[in-house]
Amino acid sequence: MDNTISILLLLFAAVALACFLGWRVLKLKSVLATMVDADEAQAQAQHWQEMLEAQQSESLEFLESTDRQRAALESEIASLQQDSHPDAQGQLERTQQSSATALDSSKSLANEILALLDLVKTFERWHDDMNELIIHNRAMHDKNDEFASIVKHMIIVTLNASIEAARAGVSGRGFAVVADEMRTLAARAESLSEGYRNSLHQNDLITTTTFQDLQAGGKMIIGSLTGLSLINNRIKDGLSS
Amino acid sequence: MISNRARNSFDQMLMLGIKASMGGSSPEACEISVLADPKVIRDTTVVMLTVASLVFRLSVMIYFSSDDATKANFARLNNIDPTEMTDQVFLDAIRECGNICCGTLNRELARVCPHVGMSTPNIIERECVNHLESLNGGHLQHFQATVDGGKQFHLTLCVRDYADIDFDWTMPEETTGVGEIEFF
Repeated sequence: MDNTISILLLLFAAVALACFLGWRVLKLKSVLATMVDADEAQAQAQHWQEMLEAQQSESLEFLESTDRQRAALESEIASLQQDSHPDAQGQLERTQQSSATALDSSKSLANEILALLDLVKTFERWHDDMNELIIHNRAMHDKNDEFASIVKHMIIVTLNASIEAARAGVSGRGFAVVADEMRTLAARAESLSEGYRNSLHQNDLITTTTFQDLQAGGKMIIGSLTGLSLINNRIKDGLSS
Repeated sequence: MISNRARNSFDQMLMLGIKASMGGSSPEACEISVLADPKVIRDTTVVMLTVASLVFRLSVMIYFSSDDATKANFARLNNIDPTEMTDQVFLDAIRECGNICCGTLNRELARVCPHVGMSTPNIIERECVNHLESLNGGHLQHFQATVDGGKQFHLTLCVRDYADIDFDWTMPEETTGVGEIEFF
């Protein structure tokens, strides 16, 4: 009985041991499946190392090339600066000279404008002369009005003369002819006086219009000169500063 | 040759000047119309002014008579007693009226023409205006203005052109509504 129990216990122990060993084998297989092959890993490490070295080499070459280009450009800039410096200096001198000339011209122009603004005195002279002309026209109007008055009186006189001649009968026939002739002359004188009056009025209109045109034109010129002076002053100020 | 819009602009500018010079404190009450027949004008005297530019000469004539109604009107415009309106004061007031009227026109013209100048006023007889044809105007227009109080004034605008004239002028905003031109 004791032997049987011992055998059973041994058998049970053997089965348990076999199960344990089987489990361990499976576990080891699983671990081995996940592990990288050491040779392959070494080959990959070698490959990456080579790539890294190649990149480093390329970077160095690029850096050296960039340095060479930069040096070349710096050299070119220095050369250009050296070449352009005399031109810039000359240009500056020419500009300064032009500015000085322009400033002198602007000052001369200012003096000319100032002198031209004295044109106002000429316009005042025209104004005075035209006023004289208008006064003269007025005097001619007065003389013509007096002439027209005389002519009207002559017409009345000749009419009376005709009446008196008619009253005198046969003896007054010769006088009647003279009176008629005088009346005709007086009528022509009246017509002439009326025409002269119209001409004087027309003359007044033309004279006044011409005078005012001169005066307004003068003010237009003075206005333009004043504007020109302001522009010139701005130019002068700009050149001075 | 003066374009139609330039003619209309000249007319409107003068109407603006009439309102400014004759309207007094209520320029909107001043009614202006175009006068077709100037023979209805019975006034005896004219105040004349000229605006000159490089390409045209513009003459403005304002008709007036030295009667009581006219003197009273200018006394009111100048805020003086009518009894103080002596002949000299009256003529000065008439000239000043012309100055304001033509000055307004001149100011507006300066907005469209770079160079313009204005004359001083001169007094001439009404009969002189019968010879307007001797000015060879390219644009001639007569106006009638009825001011506040019913007094009527007449004006003539004569533009002599020395080149083609064409410009576009618009009424200043603050004075728009000067009025329509009406013919009668």
